[in-house]
Amino acid sequence: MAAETGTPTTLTLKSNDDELFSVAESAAILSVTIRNMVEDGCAGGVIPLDNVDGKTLASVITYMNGISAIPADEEKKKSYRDKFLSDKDFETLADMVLAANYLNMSCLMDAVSAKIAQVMEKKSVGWVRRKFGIENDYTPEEEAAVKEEHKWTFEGVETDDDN
Amino acid sequence: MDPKRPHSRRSAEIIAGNDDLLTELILLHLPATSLLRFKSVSKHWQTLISAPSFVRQHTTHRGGGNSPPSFIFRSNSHKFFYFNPATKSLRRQKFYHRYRHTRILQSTNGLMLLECRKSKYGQKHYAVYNPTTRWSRTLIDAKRKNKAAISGVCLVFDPSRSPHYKIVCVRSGKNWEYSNPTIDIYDSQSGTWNYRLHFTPIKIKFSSGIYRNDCIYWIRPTSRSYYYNLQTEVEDKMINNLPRIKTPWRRNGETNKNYVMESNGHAHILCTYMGPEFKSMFVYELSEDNSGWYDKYRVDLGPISSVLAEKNDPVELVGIVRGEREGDSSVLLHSPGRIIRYTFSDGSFEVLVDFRNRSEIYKE
Repeated sequence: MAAETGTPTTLTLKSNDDELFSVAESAAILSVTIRNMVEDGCAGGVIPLDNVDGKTLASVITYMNGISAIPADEEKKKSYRDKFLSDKDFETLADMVLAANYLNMSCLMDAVSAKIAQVMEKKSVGWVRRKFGIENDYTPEEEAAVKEEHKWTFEGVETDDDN
Repeated sequence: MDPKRPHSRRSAEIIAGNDDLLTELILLHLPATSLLRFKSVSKHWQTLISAPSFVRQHTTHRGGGNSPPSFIFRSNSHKFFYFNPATKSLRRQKFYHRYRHTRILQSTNGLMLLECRKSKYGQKHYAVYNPTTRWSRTLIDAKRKNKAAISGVCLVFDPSRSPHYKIVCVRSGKNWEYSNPTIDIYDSQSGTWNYRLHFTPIKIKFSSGIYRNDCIYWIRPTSRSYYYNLQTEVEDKMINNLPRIKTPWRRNGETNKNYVMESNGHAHILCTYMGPEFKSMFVYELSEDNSGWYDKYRVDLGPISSVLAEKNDPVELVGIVRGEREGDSSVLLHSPGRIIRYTFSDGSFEVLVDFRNRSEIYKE
């Protein structure tokens, strides 16, 4: 790493749909995956990120820049994360959590997972099946039985008009 | 795969197709009530959510965070409310239990210890109850021959240490006031009871034990206090004395009322003097090594009158909340119609709940 020279090093990241992004190395190494590549000497050229599309990578880079600009103050970082995720819909959050997992950025991953849980918490079973593309393999009798067993957990569930 | 849209599979579908991702990124973060509902999503989700290894992981994961403490308000035998001072939310819960008469002896990290009777003066049973899953287990020890009276029961459950719970049950001989107690310990991991006899007779009531640092404490502000070390196997180290404390029984003509409370790993004696004209409180904290009591706070609660519904309303202590940082510590107080928080660091009073706006829940 070029930290001792004093000049900030810039890395070029490539998404799986061939978009190129420039990002300061100091921010990019929040990703353990990228840090390992830098340490292995791949930083000279372009770093290919095969599992992240351009739209998601742009968002992750915004986060990297934003969070690394905050000094070591856990509370400020937390409020930045909250604000950063506040307007994201479920699909975007799912993209981000997969990207954070692939990039090995635990702080982002935990925050997005918590946010997804918040979004899902009061959702119906039908909503979960649609969003995750899951086929209902219960027979109507089996489904009725498993619902009956945990009947009270269906109180206060949101109605499904928010597709 | 369509070459133009190589990523036509949505991320959520990718996650759902991989059990590790689904568990790590989604399921572990959901509250238990949602998980129980999502057992209906598919047979596979039901299997994942019900797996013992997942349940264990979820318990430790959710319990590991620094979740702020909640308090329980009980209005009648079938209903109670969880009150979270951080969010000021009151969550109504119904009781689902086959016994008509129940008393909550203890509530710790989401599990409750209940004392139950079928009729008002019937035989006492003890049960562990999980209000989220509505699961309960009555503690019966069929193998035990000695039917000595139970003088105290304590639930030990700390999901940040272990997903399993323990029940510590102290029995005394017939002459319970002064006898050799036996200590029965139930471990939910093995599902078995262990017995230990204590050879030195002790005169103490073993009710209202509190758990801290792998020890059970029976703290009596006006007499002897003891603690029991769950880890030690050495018989004469099992039950130990705690240093005594002298709380002034009267101040400005007001008699004290003492409370023993645990919060965030600290054991406290709170000594309150609550008269119409004079209100104050002393807080003592047990030192980490059990060697003595710190004089933690001395507070004049007189200014509380400005946030009471009526100036001379009675005030009762509900609980203490020890924050991670010194400045976050506070006590909750109850006065007719209100729950009030007093913060030690700045001496401020804040009305957290005003029941006049929420008459539907205030029936106590």
